[in-house]
Amino acid sequence: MSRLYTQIIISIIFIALLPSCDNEVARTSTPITVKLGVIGPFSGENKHWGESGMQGVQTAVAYHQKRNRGLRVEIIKEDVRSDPAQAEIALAKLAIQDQVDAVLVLSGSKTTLGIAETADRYKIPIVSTLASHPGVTNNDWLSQIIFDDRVQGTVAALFVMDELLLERASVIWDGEDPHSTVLAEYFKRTYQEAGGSVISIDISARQEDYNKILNQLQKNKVEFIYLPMEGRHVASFEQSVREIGFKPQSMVSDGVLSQMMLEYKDNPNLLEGMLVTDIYTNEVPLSEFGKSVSIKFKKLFNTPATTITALGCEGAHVVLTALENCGRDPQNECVNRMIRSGNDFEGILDSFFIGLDGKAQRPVYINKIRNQRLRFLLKVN
Amino acid sequence: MVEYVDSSLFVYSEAGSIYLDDILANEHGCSISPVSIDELRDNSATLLKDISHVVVAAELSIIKKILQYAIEYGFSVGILPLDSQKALKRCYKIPGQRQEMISLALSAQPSELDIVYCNDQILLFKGVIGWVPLIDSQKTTGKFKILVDALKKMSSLHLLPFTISTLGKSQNKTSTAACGCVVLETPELSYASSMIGDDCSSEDSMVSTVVIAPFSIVDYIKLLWLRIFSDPDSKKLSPSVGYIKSTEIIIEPSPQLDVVIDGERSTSTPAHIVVHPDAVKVNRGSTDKESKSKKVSSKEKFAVGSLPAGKELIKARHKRVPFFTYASEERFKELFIALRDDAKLDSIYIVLMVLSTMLATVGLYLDSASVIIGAMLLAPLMAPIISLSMSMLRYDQRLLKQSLKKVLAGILVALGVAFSLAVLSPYQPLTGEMQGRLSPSILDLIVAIVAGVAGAYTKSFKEILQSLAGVAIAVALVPPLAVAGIGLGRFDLVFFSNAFLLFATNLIGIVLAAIITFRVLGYSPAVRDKRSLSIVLGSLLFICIPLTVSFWGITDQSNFEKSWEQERFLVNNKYLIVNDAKIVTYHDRKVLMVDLYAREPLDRKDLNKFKRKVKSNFSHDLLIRVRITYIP
Repeated sequence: MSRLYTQIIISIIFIALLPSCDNEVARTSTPITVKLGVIGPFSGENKHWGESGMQGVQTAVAYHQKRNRGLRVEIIKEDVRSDPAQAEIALAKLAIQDQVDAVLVLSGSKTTLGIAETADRYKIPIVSTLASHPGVTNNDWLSQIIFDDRVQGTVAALFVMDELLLERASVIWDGEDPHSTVLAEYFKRTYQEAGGSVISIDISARQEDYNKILNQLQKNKVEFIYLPMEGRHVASFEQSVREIGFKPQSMVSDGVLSQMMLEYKDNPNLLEGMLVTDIYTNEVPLSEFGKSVSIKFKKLFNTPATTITALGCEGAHVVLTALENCGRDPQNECVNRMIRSGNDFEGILDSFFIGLDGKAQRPVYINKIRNQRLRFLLKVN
Repeated sequence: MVEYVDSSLFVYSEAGSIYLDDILANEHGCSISPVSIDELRDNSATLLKDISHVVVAAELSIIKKILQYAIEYGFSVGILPLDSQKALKRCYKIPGQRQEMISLALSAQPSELDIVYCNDQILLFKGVIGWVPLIDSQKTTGKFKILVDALKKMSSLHLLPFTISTLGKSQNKTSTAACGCVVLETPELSYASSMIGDDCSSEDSMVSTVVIAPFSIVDYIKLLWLRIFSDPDSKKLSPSVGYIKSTEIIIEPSPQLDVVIDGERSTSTPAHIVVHPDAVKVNRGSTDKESKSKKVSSKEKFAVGSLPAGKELIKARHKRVPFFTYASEERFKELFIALRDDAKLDSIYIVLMVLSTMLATVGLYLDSASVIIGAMLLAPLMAPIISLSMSMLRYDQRLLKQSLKKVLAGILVALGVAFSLAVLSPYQPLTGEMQGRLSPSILDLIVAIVAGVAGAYTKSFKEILQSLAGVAIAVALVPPLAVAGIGLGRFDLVFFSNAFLLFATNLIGIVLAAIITFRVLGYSPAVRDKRSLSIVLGSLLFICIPLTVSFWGITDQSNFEKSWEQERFLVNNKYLIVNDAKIVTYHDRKVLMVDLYAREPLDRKDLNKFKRKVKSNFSHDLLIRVRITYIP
């Protein structure tokens, strides 16, 4: 009788302990080997994007391998510079020849749009880390983890109108860059609808004659300048501003500070005092995931992390989480469904989700650049 | 017209021989018979027989021997000091020039001076028994040196049992504890002498003793403060110092201590100090200052009230003095009488409690701050709470019971009155004044602590007692009780418990702060009872649990509300600016009340999306209420 009691007690204790086994232990027992294709500019003028983003990917892989000791990740890198055509070829190679489980794209909107056109053909889950152009997700397989340019442009316009209370603005944009075009379009549209007046200037048509542009804006008493352009254009513009001495409040778009930090190390304070819409800020506490990967990053690399690094890390984290959730032999449909499930993914600062349309729903941070840091002003949910 | 002696014996040591030629050739026609001290020792009876005047130039011990002979043989004495004998020059007002010194030594107009014996040894200036920190240094010593010396010695500060008796006209005896004492016969340049206003003289037939007994490190620091910053001639006796003046004093410490007489370790305790009035005739000078100054009093003094006594001695036996001062009840009799009066429950207290609660309740219903302040002023709760603090500090069971009973009665009366008014009133508003008392925070505890300190402090000093009204307003004891009573009347336990938590925070904050203040001010009991400590710690734990819970809740809530100042929403391309956000509890659910600015009208779809964003980004448990202000 007493033996029976002992057995019952041991069984109860065993059953009671079962739920306390955390996911880490459970995951350890399921070995997974995944092939992850990474497309990015690892050479050429935007090679910093690729290198910085790749550091983020490696950090996320290390984080997942620590959580799941059975995980093996084989990374196949494809350098496409900033060429959409090369990106398309790289995707085909990864899908057909390498038969990867998922693809991460570390390129900007212009290059990623080249992939977006053929994404449905290979039926491989693709996650873009930097491309925020709305056209990137016009398919069933490519998802963004950054917010859509339409959201960013709208937020910028309404912030200027409703918070800064400035009613005369100018938007200077690059007609050859789709990312810049959409941001400018939405800024202009929203700003005008809210009652403001906008002088819109396409620098691709004006051949970057910033002195002339600034003189024109000064005459028109412009109070605010929106600059949705790549870092090198913003740098040239800012140099002209300093020459002329006309300095209204200006705002740049996401990732520009990172570009400047990587490409303009000699003149790091060029963006000092500018407003910026970004995925991140330096002044909000990191999430638990953010803290873990930050520690991991510092162990792996001896360089400062940028927005591009963080997005590379989050992109890889989304892909690896979806792959893990789809079990030992993940099917592409399952992984894509997991990515676009609308369930929360842990981010560096906040959690975010990707909807069925492949677009990420996440806050836009409005910051001010001070000493090469993003000083937090507002968070637009 | 100064007269000079016709003849004199000149006794000198080797060092004093410097005067020999000058005194032999003195201009006053005085016949000098020089004799060395060795010759005198060998043949004193012959040499001193029929001698009317002796001049001495030698070391202090030899001068004392000559004074001893002077008492025996009745001759007068002139003194020629050695260069090193500055105290002697000062004491006998001997001029600086050699010829003037010799003239004074040969003068035929001696003064009759007292001789003080300590254990049969002559004490000319000063005797020291034990350790006398701070007061034995010269009053001209530099402040920095005093500070450094005092801090060095602070760790070794300790008191010893002393029995001091006087056997003069009035006979007194005290058993006390002290570091040590200084026996003063003549005024000198030490701080001890200036503290008693140089109330000592070799012509007053008295001997003075200054006893130093810092009860605690705090007292020692106070003494140090006075020593550094007060005027050395202020004649102010420090609270840690006792002063005895008599013709005969017996000082008996335990254990036996050395007695240092005029800078030499000469004897040991018990020290029997006795004055022989007008025992010798000595030629001493006088200054203009002296002639103008008033004569030193010959009145006996026995000012030992500030020295440890009674139960305090038990504490004084400890190896080291405690940090804070302690005291027996006798020492602060008036304060304790006042505190006991405050702890007595009477009808006036009940009437005032009823009136103040009625006023507070009406003020809360009217949302009128001025009426509520009136109630605070009327409320008599503060006084028994201060009594409660003292009773807990000293574990005075009688006072504890009385004050606790009075406080509890006050609480019950207040709750009862507010409850009745709430039940009777058909009007049940939730005013701003009520809401302000439903979420106690750590700030309320800080207010209570500061008020507790102020309450105890004002109670300790009669001259600032009028400030107690301000303390009452600051801490506001009755209004939270009235809100709690209203909560009871509405049968809303959350309402009641939040308001009562505020009252409990105030109550325990005041009690704890007052205990600490009383302790710092030196009202700790000489004999501590562990039970008092248990009660204090128990109370602390008791309040810490709800306050910690409340504090974290409030901190989280405050952080959340603050973070919302920087939150914006983009809902269906409509930009929403958060003006203000607050979390309130409604029927056990957390409700987020948001004030939004929007440019475009918001429809049901927009609001649903807003709600989804809030829930996904913050908390799924929140109820959301929005107030929208449209901006053009």
